[in-house]
Amino acid sequence: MARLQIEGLCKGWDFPVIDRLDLTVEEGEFFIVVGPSGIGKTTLLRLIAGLESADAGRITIGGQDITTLPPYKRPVAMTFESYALYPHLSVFENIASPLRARRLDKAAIRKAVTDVAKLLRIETLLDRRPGEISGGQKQRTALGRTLVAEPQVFLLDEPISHLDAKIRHELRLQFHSLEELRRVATLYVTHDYAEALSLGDRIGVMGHGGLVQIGTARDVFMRPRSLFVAQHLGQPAINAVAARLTGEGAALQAHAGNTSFGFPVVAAHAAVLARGDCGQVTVGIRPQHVRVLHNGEDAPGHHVIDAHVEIYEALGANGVLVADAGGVNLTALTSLERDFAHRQPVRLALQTDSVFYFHADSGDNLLL
Amino acid sequence: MAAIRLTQVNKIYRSRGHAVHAVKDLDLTVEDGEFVAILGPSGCGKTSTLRMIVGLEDITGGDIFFDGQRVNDLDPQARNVAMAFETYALYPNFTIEENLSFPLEVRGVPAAERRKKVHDLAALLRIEDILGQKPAALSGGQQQRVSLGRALIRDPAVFILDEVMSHIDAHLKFQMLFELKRIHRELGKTMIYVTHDQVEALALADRVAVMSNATLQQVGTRNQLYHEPVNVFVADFIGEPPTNFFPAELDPAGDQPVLRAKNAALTFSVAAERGQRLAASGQRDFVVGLRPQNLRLDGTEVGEPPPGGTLTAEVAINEYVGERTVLTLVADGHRFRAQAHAETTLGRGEQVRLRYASSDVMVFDAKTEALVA
Repeated sequence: MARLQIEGLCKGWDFPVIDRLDLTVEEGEFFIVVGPSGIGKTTLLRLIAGLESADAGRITIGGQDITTLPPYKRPVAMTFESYALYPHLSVFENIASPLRARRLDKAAIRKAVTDVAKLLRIETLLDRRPGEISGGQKQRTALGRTLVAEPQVFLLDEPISHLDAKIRHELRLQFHSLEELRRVATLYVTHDYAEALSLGDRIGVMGHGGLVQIGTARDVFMRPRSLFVAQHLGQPAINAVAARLTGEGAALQAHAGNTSFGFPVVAAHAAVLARGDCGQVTVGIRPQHVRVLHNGEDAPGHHVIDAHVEIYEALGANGVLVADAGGVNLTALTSLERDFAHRQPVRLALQTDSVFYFHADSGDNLLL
Repeated sequence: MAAIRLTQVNKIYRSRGHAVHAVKDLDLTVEDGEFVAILGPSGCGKTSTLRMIVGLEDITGGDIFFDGQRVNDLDPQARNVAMAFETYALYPNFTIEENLSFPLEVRGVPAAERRKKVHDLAALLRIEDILGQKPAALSGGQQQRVSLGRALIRDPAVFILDEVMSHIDAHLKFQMLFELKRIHRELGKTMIYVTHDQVEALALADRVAVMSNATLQQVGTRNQLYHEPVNVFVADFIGEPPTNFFPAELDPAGDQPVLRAKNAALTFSVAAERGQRLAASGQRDFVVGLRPQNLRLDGTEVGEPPPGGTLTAEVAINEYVGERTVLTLVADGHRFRAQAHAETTLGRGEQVRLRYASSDVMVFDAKTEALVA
C-alpha cells in the first residue's frame, strides 16, 4: 500500500527524452499519461520498472527509494505493448508465471488465473499457446499476467488500445471498478485521449521532456494550458487558425490575415485578452463548436459565417465537414442524417464563447 | 481492375493434433472498384480470409474468382494483388523516391517511366516534398503513406490493407481515414480493408462484411448494419458505446403489447402494429436492443419527442470523454449505458429519467438471436 513519487527524473540518449519530471501518484489513484507516439511515455514506465536506468532523479514507492534497485526487486508489475509472452508456455502458464515465482500453492494459482481469465474473457483459451491466439487475445493474456501479480504499483502500457470497441468499453468499466487496481497506484499510458479522459482520476499530457499539464479530465479538455494540449485531446483535432486581435476592450475582433475570416471576441474573453500584449494569436475552435446550420435556421449567441463545403465524409458516429470560411478551412461535426456536396454553400455558427486563444509563439493559453 | 467472388470458402488449420476451423462456408462478392471492409473481433477469421484472397494461404474448400477466373491455384504474383501491411519494411539507406522506385526497377521499367510513376503517386499521396528524405526522418503518418505507396506503385488490380492503422495515434488516424477515402475515390481501385476497428471500417468502406466465429454474419452499408443488424452479434459489435441488451418477455395484454425486461419493472413500448405482429408470432421471449445514443436524458430533447417511452435509472459511472459523456446506469439489476452532453455532471447515485423512441427499439429472438422485423 503505497504512493509512487518521482522527483527530478531525467533520461536521455542523444537528446533529453525526460527532463526533470516530477510526479506523485497516490495509493489507489489511476493516473493516465497521454501523448503522441515517441514522446517518451514508455520510457517513463521503463524507468519506474527498472528496465532503463535514470540519468538523474529519484523514484520512491511507499517512501522506499528504488531508483537503483534491479527490476525484480521493485514492487511493480508492468504490461508491455509488445505483450512479451513466453511462446512455449500456454496462456494459463503465462498468466501464472508471476505466481509461480512467488511459490503459491497449486489451487491458489488455478483460482487466481481462472478468475482473471474470466474477467478478460480468455477462459476458453487457457491451454493454447501465444502462437495460436490472435493479437487482441495476446494483449489480454499479457494484461492478465500483470493483474494477478500483487504489486504496489501497476504500470500499464497501452493495455487496451488495440482491442475492439466492445472489449475496450468493457475493460474500461472494469478499470473503473477493479478492486485490485483501486488499492494500489496505477500509471497507465495511452495515446488515445478518449480512453485517458474516461479512465483517469488525473491525466498528465506528455510533451517534449515531460508532463506539460496535469489535471482532471475536465481540466485538461476545457482548460488546456497550451495549443499542444488542445491539439492532442479531441477528434477531429481542434481548428487552429493564426489570427490577429484588433480593436479595444469589448469591441475586440479576431481576424485571420489575408482572409475575410473573423469574429467578435466575446466580452468575457476580451476582458482577459486586452490586458496582455497579444496582437498575434492562434485561435482554437473545437469542431463540435462549429455548427452547420439548416436552411433558415437562427443561432442566437453564435457568430454566423458564410462558407462552402470543401470535403464531407461520414466517419463513424458523425459526419465531418471541412468548409472554406472566407479563406480559412474549418472542420465541423455534423449528424449523419445530413449530406453535403463539394462547393455547396453552408452557414456555420461559431460558438465564440468556447473559443481558445493561444500565444502565437509559445502556444500558451492566454485565457488562463 | 477486378471484381472478386468467394464461394463457399473454407479454411481449416491443423496444429498439435487439433483442427481449427478458421473460415466457414464464406460467400462474398466485391464489385470492381468497390471499397469493402472485413470487420470482426480478433480470431474471427478475417485475416485468414484475406490471406486466401492474396494467395498466401491454401484454400481448404471452395473457390475464389477474380473477374470470373478461378485463382485458387495461382500464386500471389500471378493474382496481381498488392497488400499493404501496418509497417512496410522500407530500405533505411534508400531515399523515399528510391524505395518507391525499387519494385519498378526490379521489373525492368525504364528510368524515365519510373520517375514519372513515382512522382504521380507521390502527388496522389501528398508526399512530393519528402521524396529525397530517408525513412528514419519521417513521421508516423508519412511512413504510413510511403507504405501505401510501396504497395500502390505496382499498379495492382486489387489492393488489400491489413490493419494498417491499428497502431497509428488517434489524432493522426482521423487524417489518414480522410486521405485513404480520397485516394480510393481518385484511383477507383478495388480495395479490401481488414480491421477489428468498426470506426475505421464504417468510415472507409462502401460496404462492410462483419465476421464472427469463422462465419460471415452480415454484409451491408453503414446504415444497414446500424439500423437493421441481422442479429445480436452485429448489433453488439457495431456502434460505440456498445448497444444495450435486455432479455425481455412480451406482455400481450390489451391492444398495446409491451416488452417487459426480465425480473424488472422496465418496459419497452413498440408501435401497436409491431407489437401485434410480435404477439401473433406466438413467441414470448425476446431480447431488446437499444443504443446508448438513442437513450436521451429526459428534458434534453429538442422539440416534440417522437412516440416512445421512458426508463428510470440510477447513475453508476459518469465517463467524461471530452465531446460527450457516457453514463453507465443501473435499474432493477440491469446495467446499461446512455450517451449525454459533455456538460452532464450527474454522478454516482443520482436518479435520472431517459426517453427513447419506439422506432429505435430493436427486437431479437431470444433463442436464435436473429432480428425480428
